[in-house]
Amino acid sequence: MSGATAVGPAGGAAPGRDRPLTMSGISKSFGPVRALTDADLELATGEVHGLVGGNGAGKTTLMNVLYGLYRADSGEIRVDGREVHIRSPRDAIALGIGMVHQHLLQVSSYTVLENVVLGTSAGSGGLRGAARRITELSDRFGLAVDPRARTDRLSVGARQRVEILKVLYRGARVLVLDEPTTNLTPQEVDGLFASLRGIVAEGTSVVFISHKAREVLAICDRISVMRDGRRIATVLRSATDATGLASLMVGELVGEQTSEVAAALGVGAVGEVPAAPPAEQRRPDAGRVRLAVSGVTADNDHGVPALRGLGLEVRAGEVVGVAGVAGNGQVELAEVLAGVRPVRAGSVAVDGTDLAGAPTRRWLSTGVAYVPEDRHRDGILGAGTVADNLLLGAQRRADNRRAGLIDWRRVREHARDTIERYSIKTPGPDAMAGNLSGGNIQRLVLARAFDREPAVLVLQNPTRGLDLRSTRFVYDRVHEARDRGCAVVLISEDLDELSLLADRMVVLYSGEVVGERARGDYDVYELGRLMAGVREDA
Amino acid sequence: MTEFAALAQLTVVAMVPYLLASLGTMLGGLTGVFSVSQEGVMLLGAAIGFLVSYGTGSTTIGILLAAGTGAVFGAALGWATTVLRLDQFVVGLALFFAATGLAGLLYRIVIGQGATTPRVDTLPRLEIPLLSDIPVLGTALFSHNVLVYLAALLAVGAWFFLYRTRAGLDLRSVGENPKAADSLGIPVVRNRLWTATVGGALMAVAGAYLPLVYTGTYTDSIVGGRGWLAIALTFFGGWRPQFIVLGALFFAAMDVVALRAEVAGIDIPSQVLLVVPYVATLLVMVFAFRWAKVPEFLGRNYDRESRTA
Repeated sequence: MSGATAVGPAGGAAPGRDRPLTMSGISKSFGPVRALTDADLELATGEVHGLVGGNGAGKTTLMNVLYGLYRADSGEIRVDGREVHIRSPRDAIALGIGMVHQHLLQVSSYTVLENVVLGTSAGSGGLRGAARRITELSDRFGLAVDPRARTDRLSVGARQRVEILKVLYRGARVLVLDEPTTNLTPQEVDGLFASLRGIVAEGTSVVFISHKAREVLAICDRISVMRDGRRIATVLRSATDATGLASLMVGELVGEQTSEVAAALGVGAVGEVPAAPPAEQRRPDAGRVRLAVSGVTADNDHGVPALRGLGLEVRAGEVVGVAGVAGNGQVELAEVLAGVRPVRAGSVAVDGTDLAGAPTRRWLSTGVAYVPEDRHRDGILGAGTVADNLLLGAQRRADNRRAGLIDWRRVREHARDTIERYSIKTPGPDAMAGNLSGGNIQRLVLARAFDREPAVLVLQNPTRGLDLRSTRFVYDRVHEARDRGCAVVLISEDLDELSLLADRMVVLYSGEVVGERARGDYDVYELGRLMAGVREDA
Repeated sequence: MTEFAALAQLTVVAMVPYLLASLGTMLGGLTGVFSVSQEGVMLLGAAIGFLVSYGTGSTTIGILLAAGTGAVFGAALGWATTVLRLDQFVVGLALFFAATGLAGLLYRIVIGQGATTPRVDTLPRLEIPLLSDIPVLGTALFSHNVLVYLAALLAVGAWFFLYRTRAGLDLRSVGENPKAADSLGIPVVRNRLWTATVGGALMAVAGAYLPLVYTGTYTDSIVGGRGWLAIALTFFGGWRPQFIVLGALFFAAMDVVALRAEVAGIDIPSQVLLVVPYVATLLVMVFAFRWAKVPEFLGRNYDRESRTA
């Protein structure tokens, strides 16, 4: 941070000075999977460069190659016009490249100060001087954070500011941000954008990875679109709009409905979604309360109360969205509703029967279906076959048994049928489930959930990490469940997704429902305040 | 009073093998390398230490060669779990068996199975001038063999290095979140290798201490479970040197009291007293798991290009 100033191309600087970074011909495979094919990227000094594309497009992989976390199979990287070989993050840092990863990389038991200075011991002053510099940086760029605070006591937004400070502290001239707005409230996103403006004004270049066209359009000067492991276009902000970007991202996949989803996801449909037709019109039996939760208190894995007297009612044919910043009790709520986490107090009634404390078997037979957030860990048995996984939970049902044992022939037949109906991409019922892609695992989980006509469907972040085709598939299944009179609880950190699907939205903060909004009354900033814990009566 | 001083002195002497082995375990563990071969490496250290000083007549050379052998075993664990990314527990157990077998084998090759048990001179006491004249305290703390002082210095030095220097901060981050450490340019593999190596050396010295200070002779049962206890002690001490010292004193006191009770014919079976450290450790881990902090990545290998972790 030696007072770096922007040097424009007209400044008579050395060749390449206006091109702090050029990547070309980058290829990378993970085993048989090609993640990058001849990908390239060029940065200008002092710009915010958007890097957009669907999941699996290769955005993060390309940046991990730049940061030395992945070794490219081939390709060339130039910094200030000079070819460089980046073998580890250490090399990248030395070249002035810094990266803020999507999953915050911090030692949670360390203080902010300790996390920032980590790895900089050589040739630097004492910790007091470091603390002063951190304070100076955070004042200059509006990245408010207390250097003495323990990292695990901070909000996600503050932890993200720590990550940016880490990069700035090392004097980076290229700052890579990987999906930085996940888990931020709309207010925090605005704060982040203001900081980024200040940072590029001093000559640093920013790469902003996102899959949301709206955010990219709000902050970026130029935007590169990636698809299938290569960059397919770079456009000026002034020369494009949301629809243009969405169609670039999705490519030839654009069908009428897909583009509707893509546009809603990308542009941010909050507030613009037309109010859905009243529930009564859609379904004759709507209005009957199918899921009634009252006064539920439950602990998290560490024995600390995570839900505090939570109440919620969901009617037949209704989708209720649960919004909130991650870590406010979402996981616990989902697990309580699915019957896999015990409650300390309160009741969870399905169609009038209180299931709190009942064995999982009864929850299943009453018709509770659960689509967990971490599908690899909680959704499937990775080492089991597709048929095994489709059978799970239904293994005691009479039609799956013969002479007291599992009727494997029938199970396999049924699995083959399901694979076809849900278009699960797999060699067959005997393939290992853990080898399926994320989208296909989700199809499998959903197929299993729908196999027994659910009364209550609980989904948590059901489209995280899925491409648009699979996302669309999930949304269709949610609508199908709703139309069949199922009570759907959708717990998601994606406000756009909630706006698109939910008939009603409640906000979860610190284990309590702190607000509720009906469809047509969604305002992101208002929801953001609720998510941040600002009380409605305050 | 002199009885108390004598007991205190014995406790301090008995503390050293626990302390050294546990500090070695802690050091590797703080970067994420979890050794379970203490019992074997200690026995090998005892055999090498004894045989070398028997052959050369020099205790110092015996201890140094024991340390070198332990370092090889520590380095093997580090290499197998970082470069080859093999399962830490399986490699640790394999090294335990290899070291145990090697110790017995070497002793039989060099000494054979004669009727007489050879002896070596044990380390002499170094009475620290003036300080050792203080009543009770002088006897308890300042009239010991050189390894007692070195072990104490090591514990203090380890604490200072780990918790008061930037290099220590970097080192501990490797065991807490190797991905974060790696992303900041802290060499994960190099840190794991050197801490595992030094850790192995400390375990072997802890073993060599037994014949060279305690008994003057070697038997295959000389370690007697101290290696396994060192693992428990490290958890007991929350992977921090200052608490490990306290835990080592407690474990050693149990040893001494158990021995005394037996000698004095007191009506508590010595087995009951020997079980106390294990029970205490269990209780600590059950009830105080919140403050008895364990390195987040203890026993887990790190793969930079892994896309799941």
